[in-house]
Amino acid sequence: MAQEVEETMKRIQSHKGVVGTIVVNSEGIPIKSTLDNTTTIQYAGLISQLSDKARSVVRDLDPTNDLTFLRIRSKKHEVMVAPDKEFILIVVQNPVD
Amino acid sequence: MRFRMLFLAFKQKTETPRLLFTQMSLNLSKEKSRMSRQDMGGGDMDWMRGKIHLKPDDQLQLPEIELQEEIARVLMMHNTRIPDALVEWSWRQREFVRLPNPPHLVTLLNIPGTILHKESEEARIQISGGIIMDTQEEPIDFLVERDEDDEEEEQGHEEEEDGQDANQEDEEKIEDAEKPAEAQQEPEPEPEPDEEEGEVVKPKKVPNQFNFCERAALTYNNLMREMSTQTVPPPRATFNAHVFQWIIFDEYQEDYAQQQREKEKERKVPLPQPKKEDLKRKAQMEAMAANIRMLQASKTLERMVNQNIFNEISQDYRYWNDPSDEFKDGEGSLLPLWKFSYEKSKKHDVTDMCFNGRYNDFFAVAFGTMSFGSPVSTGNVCLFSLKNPSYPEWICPTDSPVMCLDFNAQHPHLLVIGTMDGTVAVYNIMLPPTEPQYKSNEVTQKHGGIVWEVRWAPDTEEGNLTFYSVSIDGKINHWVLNQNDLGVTTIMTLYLDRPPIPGPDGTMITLKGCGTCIAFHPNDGNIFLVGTEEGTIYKCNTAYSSIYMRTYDEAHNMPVHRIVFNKYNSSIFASCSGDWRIKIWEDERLEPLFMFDLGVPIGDVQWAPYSSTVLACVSNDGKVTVFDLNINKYRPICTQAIVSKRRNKLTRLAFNAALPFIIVGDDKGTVHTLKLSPNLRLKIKPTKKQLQMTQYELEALKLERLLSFVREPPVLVPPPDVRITN
Repeated sequence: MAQEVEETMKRIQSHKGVVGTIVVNSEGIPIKSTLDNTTTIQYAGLISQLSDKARSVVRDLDPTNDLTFLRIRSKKHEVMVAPDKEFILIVVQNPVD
Repeated sequence: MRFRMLFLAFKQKTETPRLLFTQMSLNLSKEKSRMSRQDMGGGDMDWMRGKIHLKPDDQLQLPEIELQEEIARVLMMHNTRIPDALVEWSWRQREFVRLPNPPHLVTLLNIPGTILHKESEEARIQISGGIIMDTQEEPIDFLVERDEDDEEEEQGHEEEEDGQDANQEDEEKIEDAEKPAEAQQEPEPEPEPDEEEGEVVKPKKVPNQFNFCERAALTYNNLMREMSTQTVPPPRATFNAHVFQWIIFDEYQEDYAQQQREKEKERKVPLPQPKKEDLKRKAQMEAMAANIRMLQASKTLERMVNQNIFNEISQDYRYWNDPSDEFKDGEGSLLPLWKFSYEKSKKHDVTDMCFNGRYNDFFAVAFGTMSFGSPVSTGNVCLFSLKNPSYPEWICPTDSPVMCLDFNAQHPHLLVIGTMDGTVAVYNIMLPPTEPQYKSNEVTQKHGGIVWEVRWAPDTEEGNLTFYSVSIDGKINHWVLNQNDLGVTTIMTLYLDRPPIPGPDGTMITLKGCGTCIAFHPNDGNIFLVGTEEGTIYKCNTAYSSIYMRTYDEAHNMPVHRIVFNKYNSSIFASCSGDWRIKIWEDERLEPLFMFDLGVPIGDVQWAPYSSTVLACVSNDGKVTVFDLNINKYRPICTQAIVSKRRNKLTRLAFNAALPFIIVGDDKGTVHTLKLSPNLRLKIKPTKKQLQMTQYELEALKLERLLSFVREPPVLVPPPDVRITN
């Protein structure tokens, strides 16, 4: 199972325009990344905060609801986040090539 | 008493009447000042006026000189102004009683001392009172005691003064004493002298300063010691958290679950403590669940990435309709969209494709080989989703090239495949693609050759799922999915209507037809059509295993690749073949209604789901051809090359049931998605009379009308021969 996840992440990394993928564990520590150290830590810290806040927003509006995915479209990148209580998957893609 | 004192005082004055007035006025003013003192709370300023001397009108006015005049006084031992005959009214004797003459002594100041003579009367009283003077310390104690007594007395007096009028008190005291001596001692209006008088009455103590010595001993002072220990400070932690509505909600849910659990516990016998193994298993389960969620999340992320990559194609797929269609009369085009392929199946042919019944964007692709001498010995089954064109959702490698597959309509998770070596297998695509759920026995059940087509069939009466397979060995098998294995019944063995031919060693061999395709009647599950390598189409019934209901002999000259029933009229079916032709047949008519010759072998033909008259086919020259019989009965309305003519050929085609696109497979393992332009998916517009008819009825009617033009009577009666020459 874990192997499949790894394969999928590897595949995502090989896709066009993908800048990097980061796997963050439940404690907010990046455990797997294809980006450099500084960027990884920055992404991991900020995105986990943001996803917490976003989850809070969603759940505050309806407590039975929950956040599943988060996409941030910026001028340069698109950051796709899969937040979970055990992990956070982050993919940074440059969508216009 | 005051009046008397005043009186005494007046006598000393020379101008008696004046002084008297003054004194009276003074008294008045005093009264006033007392009153004003009471009124002070009200903010009255009368006390200020007390300083203003009121002068009676008849006051003697002295000139300045007289005022300045010095009057000499001579002080003598004898008080010359003592009245000589003082009387007092006695109520008892009812007469004036003569009072004794007041003494000449005037006490100006009286300060009581603490020392008294040893031989005085008081001292004697004290000594006789049991006080021993021999010890030195005792007088000190006594002194102290006495002081304390004084203080108490003073306090007591003060308290009394507070409560009572000072004048009254004074008068009473004097009456109590009834001593003129004492009266003389009190020229001052203060109450202190009275107290002192009281003290005099009390027994005095005899400390003195002559034989008094104080002894004291200084002891060592205990050293002050300060002892303290510092304990380890209790652990501190800063805790802060936000409380949101959802946190409260979660807590309530948790609480409710806990309550339910407790209720359960009360109801049941207390369960034994969960074992370590259970806990371990639970942890494993949780880890598994997290892993599964992670896989799901990563798959979704991959789709997102793909959505970004193929954004333009997605937009085209959704919104772009060829605008030139408006000007092309009845002709359409195909817009290539995504291409699906699997890296490890680049050398395979796409041998079959099938859309899932539940999800319109989800389809299965069988990778096998179409050529007999191909070096490819393995196959793959891949499931693709339009959402992820770059990689299959589900990959199942097989030992033998996969030749056909079919999704179950009622159970969209079940996929049946047939392979080149004659086996059939059923996969549950919800499970990981490792082992098929059902697989035919390699020895006893398998077909003798390539399984060309598998089709799900209606369930048995017991509710078991069933499917049919047709193979090149001439058998049509009916498979039943039992609890653990596949049950098989051969319902038809295709035989050729030819005499047996002699074998090599004298045996006679019955020739069999090699089934290549099968099509079940949409309304009657028993009736089916089989196409063969020989080009013959047999109409069979599952109830009769040895006879054909009808034989379309020489339907094609080459192997029949596909037979499909029309979606709107179940008596119409189309077939295509390697002999370059597509033929459209009507049931119970041996001659085809339509026949199209494309000039190249045709791999697949399919009726459109949205129209009764549209059909599409793929040919070996890499072209997709679309016909709409309603528009043009002789020519296709669209012919478009999808792949390179020289290198590739198209093998299979499938319409999407709901969305306006088709998928075509080629022999390089690629599946192309093509969007149908508006002209290719024209829907019939109802006339005014037909407004209440459904689309289905309209389509059926359209086909029926078309057929009425082309139908020839089943039997043409030749006209009677007429002699034309004389």
